[in-house]
Amino acid sequence: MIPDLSQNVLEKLERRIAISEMAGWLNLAVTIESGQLIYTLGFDEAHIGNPVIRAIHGGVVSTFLETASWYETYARLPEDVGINVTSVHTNFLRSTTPTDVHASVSIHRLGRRFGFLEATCWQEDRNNPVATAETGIRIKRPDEKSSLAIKT
Amino acid sequence: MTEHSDIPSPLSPVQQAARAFIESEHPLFSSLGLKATRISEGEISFRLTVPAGYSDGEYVHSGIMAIMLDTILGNAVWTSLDRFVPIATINLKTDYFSKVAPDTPLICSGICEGIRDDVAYSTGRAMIEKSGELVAMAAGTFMVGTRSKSKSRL
Repeated sequence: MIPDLSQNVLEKLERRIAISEMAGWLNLAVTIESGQLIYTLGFDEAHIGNPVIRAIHGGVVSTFLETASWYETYARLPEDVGINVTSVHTNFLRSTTPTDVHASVSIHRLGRRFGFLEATCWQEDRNNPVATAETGIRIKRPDEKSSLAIKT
Repeated sequence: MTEHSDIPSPLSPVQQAARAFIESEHPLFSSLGLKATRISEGEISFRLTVPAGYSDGEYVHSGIMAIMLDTILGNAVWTSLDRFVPIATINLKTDYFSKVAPDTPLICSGICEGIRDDVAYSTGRAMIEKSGELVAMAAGTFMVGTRSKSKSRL
């Protein structure tokens, strides 16, 4: 079962965004629309992949989708739970323009130790996504016992 | 583990362009102090450090590894071509292993495993230079020769 969003979820996310240098570099912002968190990569010249063609760097788009998935997980779990991205698989559906990018995240499963999420991003038209990313997230709860067989 | 420079002289024109793009022509990569340590046909390797400006908490954000590896995998494709054509990332899978403190010297390398029709396949990894500890691993596919320059992502 996926935990619901709390009433003060935006305050929680904005506090976390404010202390992250990388979130600042991404110009990351979050809003709620129809009960769904919407993330925005605020365009900046530093996000350009090639100054000649002025498309946003694919790695920046991937990082944005990974980060949105991290925050979607963070939004739904207590603050003392550890959240580590283990993998992100991004498909670049079409080229980007030098404008803001928006994303929403679907949670396929948030288990006790692992989460599976899929983020989708778009620019002007939500019906024309520019990229999608499947993200795997390791979840470490405060009461988790470490395995003696695995080096951590 | 320390990787020494392995750069032939002279480089082919496309290898020179790939090196210049990463080392000096791009503001983001310039901020990471990238220096080529190996360039050969289909293989490329750079030394870099990630400053605190790309951190999330006490470690650098894992996404900066995806940004670097996307670029270096694409560069590995370029070094295997005999002429410079636009390429675009189709997909990229990045696995994260270790967290890295800011300003840790890293080695980031990429190999173009092959090109079939107009799709190139690359793999790569980022390691801590001193210890050789794996930080991230990536595999990506790239469209070689996009229809117009304006459609290229790189």
